[in-house]
Amino acid sequence: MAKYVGKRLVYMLITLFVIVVLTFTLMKLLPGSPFDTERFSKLTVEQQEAALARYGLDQPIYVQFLKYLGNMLRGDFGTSFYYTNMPVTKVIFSRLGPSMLVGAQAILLGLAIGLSLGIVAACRHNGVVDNFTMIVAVLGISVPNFVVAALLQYYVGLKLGWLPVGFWKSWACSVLPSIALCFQPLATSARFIRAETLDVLQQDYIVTARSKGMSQARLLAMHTLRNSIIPVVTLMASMVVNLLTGSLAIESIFSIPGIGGLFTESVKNNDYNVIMGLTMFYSAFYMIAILVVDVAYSLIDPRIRISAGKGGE
Amino acid sequence: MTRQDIPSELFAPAEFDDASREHIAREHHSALHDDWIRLRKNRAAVVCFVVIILIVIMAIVAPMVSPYEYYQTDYTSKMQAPSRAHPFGTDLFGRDQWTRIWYGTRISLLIGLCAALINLVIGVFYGAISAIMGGRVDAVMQRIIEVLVGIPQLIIVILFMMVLPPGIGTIIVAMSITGWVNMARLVRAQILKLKNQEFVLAAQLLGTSKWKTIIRHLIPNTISVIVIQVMFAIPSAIFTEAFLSFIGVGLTEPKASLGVLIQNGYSALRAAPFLLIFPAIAIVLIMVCFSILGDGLRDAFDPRMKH
Amino acid sequence: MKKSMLALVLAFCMLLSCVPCFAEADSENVLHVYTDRVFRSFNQVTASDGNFFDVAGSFSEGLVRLDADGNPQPALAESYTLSDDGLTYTFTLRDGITWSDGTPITAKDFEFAWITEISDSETNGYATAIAPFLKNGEAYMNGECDASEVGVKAIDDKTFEVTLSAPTPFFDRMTALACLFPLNEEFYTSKGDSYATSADTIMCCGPFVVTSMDVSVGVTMVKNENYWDAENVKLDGLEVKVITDSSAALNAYEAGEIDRVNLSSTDVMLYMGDPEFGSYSDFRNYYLQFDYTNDRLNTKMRQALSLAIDRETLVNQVLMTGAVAAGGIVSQGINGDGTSTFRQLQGDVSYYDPDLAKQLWDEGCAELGSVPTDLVLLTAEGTDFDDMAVYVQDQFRTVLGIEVTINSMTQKARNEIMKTEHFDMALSAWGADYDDAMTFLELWTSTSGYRGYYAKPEYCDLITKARSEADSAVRLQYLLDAEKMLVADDCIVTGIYDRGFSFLQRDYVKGYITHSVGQSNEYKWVSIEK
Repeated sequence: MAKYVGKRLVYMLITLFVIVVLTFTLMKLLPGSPFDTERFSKLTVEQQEAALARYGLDQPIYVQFLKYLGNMLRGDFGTSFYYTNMPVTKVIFSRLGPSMLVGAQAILLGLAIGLSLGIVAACRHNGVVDNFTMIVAVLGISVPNFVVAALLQYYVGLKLGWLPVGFWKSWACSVLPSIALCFQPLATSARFIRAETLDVLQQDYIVTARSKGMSQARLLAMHTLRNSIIPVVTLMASMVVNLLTGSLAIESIFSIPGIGGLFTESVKNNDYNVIMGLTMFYSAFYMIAILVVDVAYSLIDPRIRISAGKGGE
Repeated sequence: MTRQDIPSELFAPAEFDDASREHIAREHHSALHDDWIRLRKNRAAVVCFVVIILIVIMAIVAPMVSPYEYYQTDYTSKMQAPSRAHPFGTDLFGRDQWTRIWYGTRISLLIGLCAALINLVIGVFYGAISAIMGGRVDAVMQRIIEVLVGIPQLIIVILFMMVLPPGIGTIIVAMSITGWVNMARLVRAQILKLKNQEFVLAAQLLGTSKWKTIIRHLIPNTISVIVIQVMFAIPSAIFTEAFLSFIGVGLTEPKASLGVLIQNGYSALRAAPFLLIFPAIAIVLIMVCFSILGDGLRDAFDPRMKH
Repeated sequence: MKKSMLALVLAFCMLLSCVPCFAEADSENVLHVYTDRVFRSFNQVTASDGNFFDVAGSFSEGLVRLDADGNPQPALAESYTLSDDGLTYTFTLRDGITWSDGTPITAKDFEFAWITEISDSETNGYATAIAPFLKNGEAYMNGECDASEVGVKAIDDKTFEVTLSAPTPFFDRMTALACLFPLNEEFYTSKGDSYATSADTIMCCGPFVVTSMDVSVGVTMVKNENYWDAENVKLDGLEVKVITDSSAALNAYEAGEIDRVNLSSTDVMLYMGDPEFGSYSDFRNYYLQFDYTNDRLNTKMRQALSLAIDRETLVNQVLMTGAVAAGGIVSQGINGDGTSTFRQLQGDVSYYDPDLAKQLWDEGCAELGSVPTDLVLLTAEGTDFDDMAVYVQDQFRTVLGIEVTINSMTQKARNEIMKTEHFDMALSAWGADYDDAMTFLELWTSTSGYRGYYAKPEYCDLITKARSEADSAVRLQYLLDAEKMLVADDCIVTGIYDRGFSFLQRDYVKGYITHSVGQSNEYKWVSIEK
């Protein structure tokens, strides 16, 4: 196990390195220096050079890269070009809270509704709930979340006036964005748990238990759920990823001061350092999520055993 | 126990008729035909298939027969609600939404199709080479994949969109950079599975050449996996494009994809909700149909997996 | 399995415990407004964004403050005099004015702030805009002389003397700019880089005192009881939120969370005629810039392109935000000779004439010997530019029958391309720093691609002469000639519209003032009368 995790961590580092190289190259290819061009163009040539030197932008690219890499290893991602004098890490961490809150709520809400729907659907196979669940599941992954968000904002937030929109003032403000983001986890988990439960219900031991007169409720609680719910853990990684990317659009729609909104803003402002910092943050978060899920799954499910040999396949 | 005599005349030699021995009572179907029959039984999938065909036809024909061009402005009739002249209304510049939505659908489908095809070509080659060559080549190729899998796709696509000049080609290229990885993994897994199956071993024992094995046995049996993956890759590419356009790094005016239309509609949501609702319906319809059709195909190709 | 489930639940709880702190609820007599982009900085030395100027005028103050008509009224200065040669201003500070911590405000604080502002042209947003006006200002900015030689002097605690490099009739208005507000040297240097990053690291001297500030969330303020004019400040507090999405902002207004909101073009139609509806335009000119060195377009063709744009339809039918059609590169409302505006004296040099446009285009093409087919229109992202670009592209198609490609990119990227490469045409904008045509016309003396590589010697000569001319009538004539040369004769740039705002404002909000230059929104005199 330790060997397996170690191997995965090595891959993570390689991937992160590839991402650093890739992002750094892309940022260097980008037209536009990070300075306010209207004002910058009024400066003399010497003043412009001095400004570039201040950010180390006058040195050869490989020197800039090595410097960046060295600083990064020390946890220093440079200072934001847009927010005066703000270190990138500080900018990112100051925006983390709202994204976490909305993301966590969306996953919890999505899982709670999705799992209940999926289980009921499996027990009443081909019934009304089942059909409803399948429709929800298809719609949940087919309707783009920014469309859901826009419609929710307009109809629920505005026409009905039930919940506040466009602020970050109280907990109530996080409800609509969470709902907008919960459809994806809801759909995936409902679909998944339904299939798993149906699968388990056909197993011999369930048939045996049933033939011995066990009640449906007991059967579900004692035998079915325990086996069908475990694989849901494997969905977590993809859910986390969807939330990360979903937040890019949702956060600007609802004006949430989170990292998704920060990313889109930085793209518009050419704030290279923040873009690179966020890309690294997203990538690391993504890979750690995948790793944690894989490890957690092997711990939870006795049927899965990871060995260093085949784990990487 | 008494032995009963059975008269020998009751015994007659059986007739040897090769034709009837080999006779198969059911009509002969190729594997693909079988799949088609199974798919036909899935009514939802068939409906979706028909809807997709209709959408494709409309996307091609509607902008051509429309009295308006997708870029044609008319400032005297802007932001009009749906009417006989403009079934889907008009936008801020008085452009006909009906024409623009079908034109946008065309662009979105084109992007989805191209992205899926590029992913298909790269992915299939990569996966097949990796699986067939095996050994060290496979090991190296797999390590590369493992590195690529860790990259969050959408983030990298956005970064590429920032660097490259705007346009349809850029979006397709950006989405293809990491998009093929899933296809490669699936193809490789499928071929590895097939390689150890009895019919392939039998073919090899009977002296079939390596290339013939690949062409006759491995590729046809991998097609199902590829088709299913393409069915999921198309809507995913359409979604990604819409997403990029929505956050403002996608296509530029007056070109319209569904993403651009949704973005424009969102900013006019209050005054003209129909500007958001119609393109939203279009994209949802496309996504739903591909999704159900993909599921249907998966069930049809692999009946054992069906729940 | 139970243990792992527990672990998962715990992990979620941990996530939830990172709940960010939300701003607390407040009392009735508070004005709630918003800004449509995040603040880049709250430090007056480095900041150059409009949204900063709005809040800075609330928590701080300069020597003068502009009244509802845009005229300077004494603020921290009790009075001021101008010497006969028009070069020396002497400001006398009020008695008893203090910072929010009780420290007295002295002339030293102004001297320190002004010198600091022009000390670094790279980081300080307004250094290059301010320094040329001050005696030895540019020399000091370029490190060619000592700070003591700059024409900025604290004679004593109450007297602040400013010596200008040339007579500047509008200079007293400029002291209302946030970058010329006072700074307490001891406090400013002790905070270093963390100055003005939170309520604890800023000292206030304006009508309000900051209680919380965050670049991405906004600023909350309460009334400053120690303010010299506290009796005229009716609000108990002020909140400026960051709401970047225009429809989110309108939702917020409808939900009663903010008291004033700017409308996007699409929403204007819904609210026109509403008693809460209003609109105004300011001095930000949106224009089409050509490349003087580009040989694919000659002068006639550039003039044709300019004449092909129907500006009235754009502002009235498409934008509808209260924008006004531009008549040139100098904004409509910019002062001319004190009684008439610059535009009234000049007449329109940018206007719509489709027939002449077509004729000039054909002549131009014939002279050039070829018809360019692949012209590219550079534009920056953002609703302002998007809608204008689509419109301009459509006008070229319908009037001249040519197809131009829109190349939309981030503003920075667009600017960089304009600066370093040759281009056909680009949409751009400039907002006046002060109420005089010079603020626009001096831009094209630059050799930068951002100004189309223009800098024609005759043009630069006119601007230089205007700069040093003491007779205001002669000076004005130089500027009128310059605009004519720039826009009508050479047509290297052509104005399209002056930015406008359509807004909704609650009827109980009184005394809300907007300005066309510098600080756009003035909150000091706002009262809430429910």
